[in-house]
Amino acid sequence: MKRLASVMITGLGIEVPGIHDLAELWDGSTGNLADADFTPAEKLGRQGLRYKDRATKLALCAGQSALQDAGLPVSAREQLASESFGVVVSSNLGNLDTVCRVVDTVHSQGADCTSPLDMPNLSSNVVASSVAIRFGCKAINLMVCNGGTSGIDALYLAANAIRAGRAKRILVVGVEPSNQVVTRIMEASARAWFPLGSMPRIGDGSAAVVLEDADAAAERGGAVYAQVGSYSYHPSNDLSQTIVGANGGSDRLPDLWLTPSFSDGPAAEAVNQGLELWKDAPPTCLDLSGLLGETYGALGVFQCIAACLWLRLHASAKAIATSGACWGEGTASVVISGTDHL
Amino acid sequence: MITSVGATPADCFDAFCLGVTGNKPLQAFNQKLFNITRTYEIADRGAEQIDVTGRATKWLCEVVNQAVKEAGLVSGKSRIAALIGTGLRELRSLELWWADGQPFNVSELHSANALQRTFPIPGPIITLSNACAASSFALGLADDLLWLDEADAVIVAGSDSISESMFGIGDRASMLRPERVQPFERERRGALLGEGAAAIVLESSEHASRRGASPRALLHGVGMSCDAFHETAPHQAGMVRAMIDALSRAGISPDSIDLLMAHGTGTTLNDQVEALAIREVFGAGVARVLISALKSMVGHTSGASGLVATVTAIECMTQGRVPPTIGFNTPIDEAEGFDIVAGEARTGPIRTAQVNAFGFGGVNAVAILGRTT
Repeated sequence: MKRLASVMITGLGIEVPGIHDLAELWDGSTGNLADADFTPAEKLGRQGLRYKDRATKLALCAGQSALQDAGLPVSAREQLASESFGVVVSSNLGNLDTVCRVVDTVHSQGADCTSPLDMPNLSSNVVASSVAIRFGCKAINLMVCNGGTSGIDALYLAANAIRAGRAKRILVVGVEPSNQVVTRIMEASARAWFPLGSMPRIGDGSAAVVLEDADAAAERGGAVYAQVGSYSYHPSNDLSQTIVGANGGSDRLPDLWLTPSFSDGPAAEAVNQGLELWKDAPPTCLDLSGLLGETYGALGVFQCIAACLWLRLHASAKAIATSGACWGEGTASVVISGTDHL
Repeated sequence: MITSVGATPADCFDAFCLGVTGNKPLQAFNQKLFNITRTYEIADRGAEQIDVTGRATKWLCEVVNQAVKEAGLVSGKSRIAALIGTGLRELRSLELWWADGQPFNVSELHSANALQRTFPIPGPIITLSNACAASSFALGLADDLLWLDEADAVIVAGSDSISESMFGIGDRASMLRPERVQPFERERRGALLGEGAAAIVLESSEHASRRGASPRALLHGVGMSCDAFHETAPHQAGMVRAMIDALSRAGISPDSIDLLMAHGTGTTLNDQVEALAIREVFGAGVARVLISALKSMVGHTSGASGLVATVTAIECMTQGRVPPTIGFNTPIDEAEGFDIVAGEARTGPIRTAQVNAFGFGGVNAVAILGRTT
C-alpha cells in the first residue's frame, strides 16, 4: 500500500482592489469594488512590472501575500528548495485583452506594427511562468484554463502533484481580471444564462494559497490552516453528485459549504437541490460572488481561503467548496478539513 | 492524430516516413498583413478559405474518437477522466468573435462540453494551457491520476489551431522570415506555426487486462520542470532537469533510449539549447540515439506537439521505422555528432523512446515510452 503525502494549506493571500484584509471575505461589507484603485508597485516594487498584464500583476500580489503568510521567502534567490517548489495557476480570461488588441493591430496596420513585447502575454500560461520566475519556483508549473471549475481543479492537480512526489510545496493562484474584452465576452455569454439586464458584475482579483507536504511544513515549522481532502467532478450542474463524491464514504456531511456563484440567481435551483443532502441540519453557506462578483476560474482558490479562515475558528469542522454550474459547464468540489482531523 | 499531412495516425505516420511536408501558402489570413507566407495549416476550410470558429475543438473530438475506438474503451462503470493540453486554446475563435462577430461564448474557450458530447466522460475533464509543452504535461498528470488511483483510464489529448495574433507577433519577431522549419540545421531560419491534434488512452495495466485490451505501448514516466528563468527564452538547466526527472521516474538510464523525438522548433535559440541539454544528459552515448524532429514536416503545432510526437514514437516502436527530419543537411555546432535521421526513414528495432516538449515560460515535460514486448 502506498503511503501518500498529506497536503496542508499553510499560507493565504488575496489581491482584490478595494479589499484590504482577508477577513473581509467573511464580513462582506465592502463598498464599491469596481471603483477601487489597483497599485501593484506598492506591494511588489516597480521593477519588472511594466509589460505585465493585469492578471499577472494581480497574481504576483496575491502570491507574494500567500508566501509571506506562510513564512516563506518572496525572493527567487532565497526561495526554499526551489527545485521542489511548484506553481499551479487557474485563469480563463487573463490574456484575452492582449489577444484582441494584437489582432486589432494586425488588421488595422499589419503584423509589422505589433510589438514583440506582447509576445509573452499572448501565451495563456504567462501568469504561471511569471509567478515561477518572480518567486523562484522550478518544479511543476501548470496553467489550468478549465472554465468555472478551474480553481477547484487547480487545488486538486496541485495536491496530486505533491502526493505524486513532483513537489514539496506548490503556490496555487486563481486570477481573473476585469477589462473591456472580458466584460464583452462575459456579457455575450451571459445572455444564455442570466435574465435580460441582470448581467453579473465581473470580478477582478486574485487569490493564492500555499499547499505543502505535511512533513515539509512540519520540518520548517510552518503553521497549518487546514488539510486538502478529496475532489470530485461532474459534467453537469448536479451539485449533489460532486458533494457526495468529494465527501467519499463519510457519513458526516461538511459543516461549511462554499457554494457556486450566484446561488440566488441562475444556480439557485442547483444549490437548493444540493442543500437537500443536508436535510434538517443545513450547513453554513457562503456565496462569495455577493462580495467579489463573478470570479470564474479564480473562485475555487478564493473559496479555499474563506474555508481556511472559518476552519481556524472551527478546527474540528469540515468544509466543502463547489465551483462551476454557472456558464453551462461542469461542477467540481473539494473537501477542506480543519486541523483537528490531522 | 490529425496534422497537415494526414487525418489518421496511420496516414500521418506513413507520410512522415515518406518525408511529406504539410508546408503550404498561408490560407485563411490576409497575406497583405504579413511578411511570412507559409505555415503548416490543416486544409479543412473549403475552397473559399472562410475561417470558422471551433476548429481546434473539432480536431480534438476527432482524435479522441480515433483513440477511444482503437482502444475499444466504453463509457461504462470505469472511472474515466480526460486531460487536454493546448497552447492557444480556442483563442482563434475568440479573435473571430472579436473581429468578425462570429458567435462564441466563454465556455467554448476550452473544449470540455464538445468533448463530452463526443464521448461521455464521467470523471474530470481538465484543460491545461501549458504553452508548447501542454499535451506532454497532460500526459504526465494522467500518469499521476492512475498512480494515485484517482482514475482507471485517462483520455489524454492535445489540439491547436493557429491564432492570428500569435502568427502576427511571430511574423514581427522573426528576423529571417523562414519558409520552412529546419530543426538543428545550420541554415535554419526560425519556427513556423502548424496545426494538429493527437490523443491517446492511458490506463492502468490492471484495467487494461480486466477488459481484455491489448496495450500499444508502455508509459515509463514523465518528467517535469520549470526554468523560472525567462518568459520566452529556453534554458538548458530546466530542460536537463525535466529529462533527468523523466529518466529517474522511468527507472532507466540514458543508455537505454533508442529514439529521441526532439522538440526541435528550428529557432536559433531552441535548437542550440536543446542540443546542449541532450548532450549534457546523454554524454558520449548521444551518438547511438536516433533523433528525429517532426516539426520539419508539421510545423510547430504548439501545445499539441508533445502528443503528436508521442503517438508517432509509439508507431516507431510498433513498426520499427523512424521518420526523417526533412530539410536537414548540416548540423549546428551544438548537435555535431548527433545521429539525426535525415533523408529517408530509418528502420530497426526501437524499444524505448524519449519525447521532449518545451514551452514558453520555461515549462518542460519529457516522456519516456517503451514497447510492450
